[in-house]
This record gives sequence, C-alpha cells and structure tokens, in this order.
Amino acid sequence: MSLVRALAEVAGRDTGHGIRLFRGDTEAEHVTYDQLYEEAGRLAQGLLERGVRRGERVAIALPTSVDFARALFGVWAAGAVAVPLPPPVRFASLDIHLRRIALAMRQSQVRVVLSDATLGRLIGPELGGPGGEFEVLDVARTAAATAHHLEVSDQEPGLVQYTSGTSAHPKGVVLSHANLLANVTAIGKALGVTEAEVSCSWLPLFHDMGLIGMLLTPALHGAQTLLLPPEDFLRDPGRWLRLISRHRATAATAPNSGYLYAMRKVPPSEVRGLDLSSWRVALNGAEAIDPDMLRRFSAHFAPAGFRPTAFLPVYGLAEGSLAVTFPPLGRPVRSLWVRRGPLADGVVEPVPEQTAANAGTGGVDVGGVGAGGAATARELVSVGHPVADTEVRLVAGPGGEPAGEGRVGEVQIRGAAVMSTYEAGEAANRGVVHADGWVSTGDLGLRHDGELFIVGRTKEVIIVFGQNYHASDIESVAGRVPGVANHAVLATSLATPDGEGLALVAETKESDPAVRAELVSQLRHAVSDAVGISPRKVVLARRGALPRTSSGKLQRHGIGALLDAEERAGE
Amino acid sequence: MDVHEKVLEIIAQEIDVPVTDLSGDQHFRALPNVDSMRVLQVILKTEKAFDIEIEDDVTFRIQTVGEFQKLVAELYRQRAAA
Repeated sequence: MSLVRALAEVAGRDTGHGIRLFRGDTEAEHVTYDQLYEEAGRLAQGLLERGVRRGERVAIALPTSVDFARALFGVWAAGAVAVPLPPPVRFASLDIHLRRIALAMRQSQVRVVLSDATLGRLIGPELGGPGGEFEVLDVARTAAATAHHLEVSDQEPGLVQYTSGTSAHPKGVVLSHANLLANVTAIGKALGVTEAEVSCSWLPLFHDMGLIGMLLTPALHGAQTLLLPPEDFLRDPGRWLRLISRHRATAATAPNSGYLYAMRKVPPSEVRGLDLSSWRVALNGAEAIDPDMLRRFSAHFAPAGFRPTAFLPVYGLAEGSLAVTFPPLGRPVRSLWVRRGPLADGVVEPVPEQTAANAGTGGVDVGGVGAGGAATARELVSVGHPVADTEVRLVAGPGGEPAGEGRVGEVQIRGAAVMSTYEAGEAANRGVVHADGWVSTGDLGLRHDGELFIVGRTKEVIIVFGQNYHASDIESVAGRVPGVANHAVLATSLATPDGEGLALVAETKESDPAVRAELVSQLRHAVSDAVGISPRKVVLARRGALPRTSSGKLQRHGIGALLDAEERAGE
Repeated sequence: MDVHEKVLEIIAQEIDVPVTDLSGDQHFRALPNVDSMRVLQVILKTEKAFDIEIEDDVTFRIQTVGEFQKLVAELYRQRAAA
C-alpha cells in the first residue's frame, strides 16, 4: 500500500476529521481528510502537467500550514518523492540559507520546489527565475482542475529527510512508502491510536518528529490533527497548552527542551486556567531526557490535571523513519541510577535510588561534557522496548560484536521502518548501513530488565531544541573565519540549565584583546548565519592547544577538560 | 519616545548585554546569547512596546541591529499616521 492509498482509506471513512491549523489562539485554516485527498490529487495533476516524473525529488519549502500537507500528499499522488526543507533563519543571511538548501537539492536532483506566495517571493528570485536552476511553484497556483492519484509500489521512495545540510556532503535519509507506513503503524500500535485521538503539535514539519509523529501518524489513523507553527509556540508556549486544554487533545510530543520552555514560560496563575486532564500521551524524544525535568513539569502542571503517567520518554531517529523504542503506556517513568565512574568506561553499575542532594545537576549529560561535578551517580530514563517490526541490538567494537551483559554499546537498529540507504549512496552509507540490514545510530545505550536506556552518543552532533547539528558542519564554517589558526576549531555540546548548547574552541595567534573580542564575534556570526544556532560559549586557545591525534588531526576527546579548565581560569 | 533607543533597550535586555555594547552596524548573529528563541522574544517585545506587527518574511531579510531599528521606526510611523 502507498501513502496516498492509506490517505484514501481514511478519506473514505467520512469522519469529518482533518487538519486544523492554528495561528496564535485562533483557527486559521481547516481541511478534512477527504478534501485533502482531493486537493492532493489536483496538485499531483498540476505537477504531472509540469513534467514531474515518477521517482523525481520535489522539494517542499513551506511553513507549518495546510499547504504543507497538500504539498506532501500531492507530491506522493504524482508518484514523486518529497524533500522537506528547513525555512530561512530570522535576522540571518538569506543568501547563506539558500546556498545551504541548494546543496541538498542538488544532491537529490531537485528541479521543482513547492512553496507559497510569501516564502516563494523570498526564495523564488534567487533559486528560480528565468533560466534558474530550480522552478519555485506556489502550491495554490499549481493545482489543476481535475485530480489524479498515481499508484506506486510501497517499495518506492517517498521521502528524503535531510539530517545535515551545511557541509558539502548533506545527509539525506531515503525512506520508502513501506518504511513510513510501517513506522506509522508501529507508533499507532504502541500508543493505541484510534480515530478518537486528538493530536496537538507545534513541532516543525521539515523534521521527522513533527512530520511523521504529529502529521502522518494522526492523519493516517483518521484522528484530528491540530497544528501550531513552531514560532507561535516559541513566542508563547501557553498557546500549545491552551489548544490542548480547549480541544481536549490526547496526544502531544516535544523534545525535553520544549517541555522545559513551556514550564518556565507558563506561570502558576495561567496553569490554573488550563485543563490538561485529556492529555494521555506526552511523548518526550529527540534529545537527552532529564528525569528531573519530567518530575518538575508534572508537579508544575498537576493543578491543571496533567498526569505524570502521561509522560513517555521515547527513542528514535530519522534513519529509522522516526520511532525505535517506546515504553509501555500508563506507568510512571522508569529510571535507573548508575555509578558515573564505571559508566564512563562502558560498565553499568546500578546503585540504589539517589536523592537530589548527592546527585548533582541531574540526568542530562551530553557528549561527555558537563558531567555534573562531583556527583557519583547518574539517573537514566528508560525508553522502553522496540516498537513493532523493529529490532535493537547493542554492539561493542568495530566488528559488531554484541556488548556484554551490563555493558554500554552502540545502538543498532533493523526493521521494516529502517532506511536502506542515504541519498548519496555508498559513500554516505559506509560504516552506517551494514550488510545484514543493521544500521548504526551513533547513540550509546544499555539494557536493563529488557529495557533500553540511552547513555550518550558517539556521533558528533549537538542537539538544540530537538534538532541535530553536526559538529563537522559547524567546524567547517568556523574554521574558515579569518584569525583562526590552521582552521583549528572544535565544536562540542555544553550542558546548560536550558538544555544542550553549542561551545566552540578555536585556536588563534592573536593576543590583542580587541582583536580577540572581534574574532569571537566573527565566529558567532559565521556559525549562526550558516547553521542557525549561536554558540553559547566561544573559547580562544593558543595555537596547538586543541587535542590532536598522533597524526595531527584534531580530536574531540579531551575537549571537555579544556573547556572546564577555561571555565576555572575565567572565575 | 526615541524608537531607536527603545529598540536597543529591548535587545540589550533580552540578550543580557549592556545597551552601550550595542550599535546599529552590528549583525544580530554576531551578538552574544542570540538564538532563534531570543530573536523571537525581541520581535515579540518590540511588537508589544510599539503596538505594531512585524511580518515574518521581513525578519528573514534583516541582518543588522540598524536595519531592525529602521524597520520598527517605519512601522511605528505608519501606525501613528493611520
């Protein structure tokens, strides 16, 4: 079955359900699933008339909107493959953004970009225009008078999900219709999703968690899908909670930092006006999960009827479509205390539950940096068991040997929803996609009582607000800033009270304080413009100060100690 | 109320730097503590302070503090004239 066929089945049920887009606190647009099916067919016909062929990659550059859903299913109804693109960054260089998305589009051989009037005006002149490399189309003006739904095999690709786009080698996960449907089905089964579900999300749709978890999953189960643009949530997270309250939403998802942000910005006086008792599954994923934050959020929103058992710490990644492991429903969050020292060496030594006083700064450890001072134990959160048709194994060593009992290993996944290739093919797959279908995640985990606990990661990414930023992308941008010696920059994660942040350490020979201050500012500017996140901390080091391998290559291992030393020197 | 000064105050407060450290020729993305969330907070607080509405697509074209000051001054003038 294809994704379009799945939507057709939902449309045929005549539930009256659909997608409701909210701006601020009011509904801006609404489409039922049968209307969406019809409109997708008309857009498909328009795309076919413009020469879009089966299997062709079509980019989607749209904000959270009903048009996004029309574009997505329209591309599928034309037998083509959707490539969602991130939006431009506010107060940053538009040129740099366009160059960045053009890299991904070239790799996917995109010719047509679906956009709307507003965004099209912004990106159209640069990307499209007469003789341009790409053709930027407005969804509203591309639909034909009649609908056409092309039937494709479920083995054909449906989506290319870019997880990294700044470097010269963007990484696009290729997912087939079968992969996506398998994951939607698995999520539905794990959560018990029915037509009666009311899903409410502010997560961006160009990212797997928003797209697959909060649009495809409810839509293909015929459930109500409430969408709020991420910028509306960021301006006032109370809007998300008021939507849940007013529309009796039952399912909502966010990364750890999203819950933290909502808790900080919604004061107790506003909590009393909310009714969150309908919220039965509050998924928390895409970032390190802080068990203490879960407890504080639960207590903060208890007066509104929020149930702590609604919290579901989950694990997944784009290479597995989205969901990999979920805990069972309706039980308190399960955590495990382990000794920090042995854990650093990959050895799991459980200890009795600790009190907050001797546990240090909580459970969020990232990339080995900011491990929480003198605390001797760390609390880890269970992300449960593999979802349907998915296997998880922990391996130690390069040969894929299983990690022994009580040992930390790299998480590898295999199953119906797991990708078989990156868009770039063999060059990108090497070391990640293994011959027997296993895919490396770059995450480190341990198993305890049959459940998975994520401990850290080997992949060099910084996760901010649920989105992954590759350290190598950031370093390649920062290394080119004039004043940096030998392009020597390392990017790493920094544990902050708001969650994970980016820290940069750059080598320079400059000693003049004014020149150094300007260099720090230039590094911030370059990285922020190109990548969209600003470093929380920029440290300048003398030439040769960064850790290197014996062959002179920079190595991230040891950078934590350098940052800590810098911290102490600055005090 | 001097619009340019007030805009600087809002930015300074949001990113937690002295207002004297800010000038019109600075790029937002070169300022310390700037991230997407703080940029949105700056926009939101500016909208509230001047009772204006700043369109999304305009914010994708602005890069410097001075460009933002100019935009706010123009929107504020239009609102006063309306």
